[in-house]
Amino acid sequence: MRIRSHSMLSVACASLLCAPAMSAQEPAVDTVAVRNVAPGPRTLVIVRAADASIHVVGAAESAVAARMRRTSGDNRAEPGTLRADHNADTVLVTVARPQRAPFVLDVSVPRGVALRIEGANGGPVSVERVGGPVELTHSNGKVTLANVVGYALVATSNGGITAQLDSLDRNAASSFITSNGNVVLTMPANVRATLTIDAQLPIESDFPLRAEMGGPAPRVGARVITEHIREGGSAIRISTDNGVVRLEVRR
Amino acid sequence: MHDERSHPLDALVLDVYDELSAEARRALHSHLSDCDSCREARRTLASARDLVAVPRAPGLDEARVEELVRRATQARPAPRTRRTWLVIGGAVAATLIAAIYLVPSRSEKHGDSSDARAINSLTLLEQPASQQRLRGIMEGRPVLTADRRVSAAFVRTLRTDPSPNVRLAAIDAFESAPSASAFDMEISAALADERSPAVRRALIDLLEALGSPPARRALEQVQRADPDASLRARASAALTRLARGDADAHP
Repeated sequence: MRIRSHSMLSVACASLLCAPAMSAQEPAVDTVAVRNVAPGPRTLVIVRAADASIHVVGAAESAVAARMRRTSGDNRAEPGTLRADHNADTVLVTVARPQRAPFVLDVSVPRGVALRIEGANGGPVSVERVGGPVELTHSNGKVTLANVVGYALVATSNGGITAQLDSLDRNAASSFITSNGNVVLTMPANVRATLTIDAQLPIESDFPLRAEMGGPAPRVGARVITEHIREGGSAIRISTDNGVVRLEVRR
Repeated sequence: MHDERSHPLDALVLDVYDELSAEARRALHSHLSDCDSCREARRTLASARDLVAVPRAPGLDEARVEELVRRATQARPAPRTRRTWLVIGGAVAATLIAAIYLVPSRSEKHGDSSDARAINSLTLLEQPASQQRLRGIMEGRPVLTADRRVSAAFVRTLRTDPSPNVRLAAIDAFESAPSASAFDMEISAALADERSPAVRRALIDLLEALGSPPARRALEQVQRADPDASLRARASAALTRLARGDADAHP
């Protein structure tokens, strides 16, 4: 989804930042907020920030709010560092100028929106209580997702991936790839999925897995294997190195 | 209101390819002004016309596309390798018109035509959302080596798609394609451009599976000069296994 025009709504909004998800009272380098953002998956929220730990939380408010703070504790206000653009059904939160040091970005979004996070070389990234689909590209940091609905596309490096998938769209594919770390997926007990997994990976699964039947026999040295949970369903790709795959039932 | 017989289908196709006389164009456009379904059909035909322009990967010229198609299809029955624009346009138009006007259930009865599948795949691969492009990979996978447009689009995806998840899906598709070795040069080139360690690892494994001279040269380059020690080791192990296979084949 492209942003065609730039109706910039870079509005510092302290009241929005007092939402429960962002209740810490420490000072921030900068804050932005966009009001009147519709909840639900037709709205796409894009968060783009390099060298950042990013934490996104779903909230009941119809607004996107972001707060930036430094890990060094030097949180003197720097207005204009964060930027938020709202165009039709897309909200884009970006860091307007390069930062000298790593920082933390806390973002609050309406529940159910589609979320895209584009990070790099930051610390950990987490998403919780959003209740929508998530696409996340990162590097050198672990990723933790909770309450994913629909699908998740995650790519990172040098960090594990933990994802709690509340429900999966049968017609949408999910994909979890990292170069280094475990991939842990928690799914409902009644999930139906078709998993494509790097062949050499150890798999620990609460779900009975059934190797693909009816297709060609996997050749010796095959790069990937296909396993089904129940009779198969939502496509899930898992790839990692130096890690294990754990498939857990959501309790 | 118009019944099916009153829709000027031939004129729509000719108009899209700019082959109508001025008088016929005026008559058609007069019809279009009060026929929603024909306006929609014309839009669809125009999109299809744009799609049959082969999407190009960087450095992939027409001669190389021809060569790829020839190599990929030489073991397959009666490929249609030389179509004129008009023939392609006619086939696309026939498929679309059938889908739009005639027998919506026909494809269910007789299975998807390769052309319809290819067009779906190409359309999806052009979408801005990664999830849609992933669906494009799945849709085009069965015709990857049989349809030159899909082959070229997959090569382009492998080399330029912004999502590592989508690029990995393209690698999976190439590995399972019946004549993937026809694309060894493009896959080797993709390795040189790739930035995601997880995707690089998958490419190394795929090049080992291909084992052709260009694939080996690409592996040697990684073994010699890649900044990532784990990838150098992986390429080295792949080359060792390939050499061992050569020795076993020619003791």
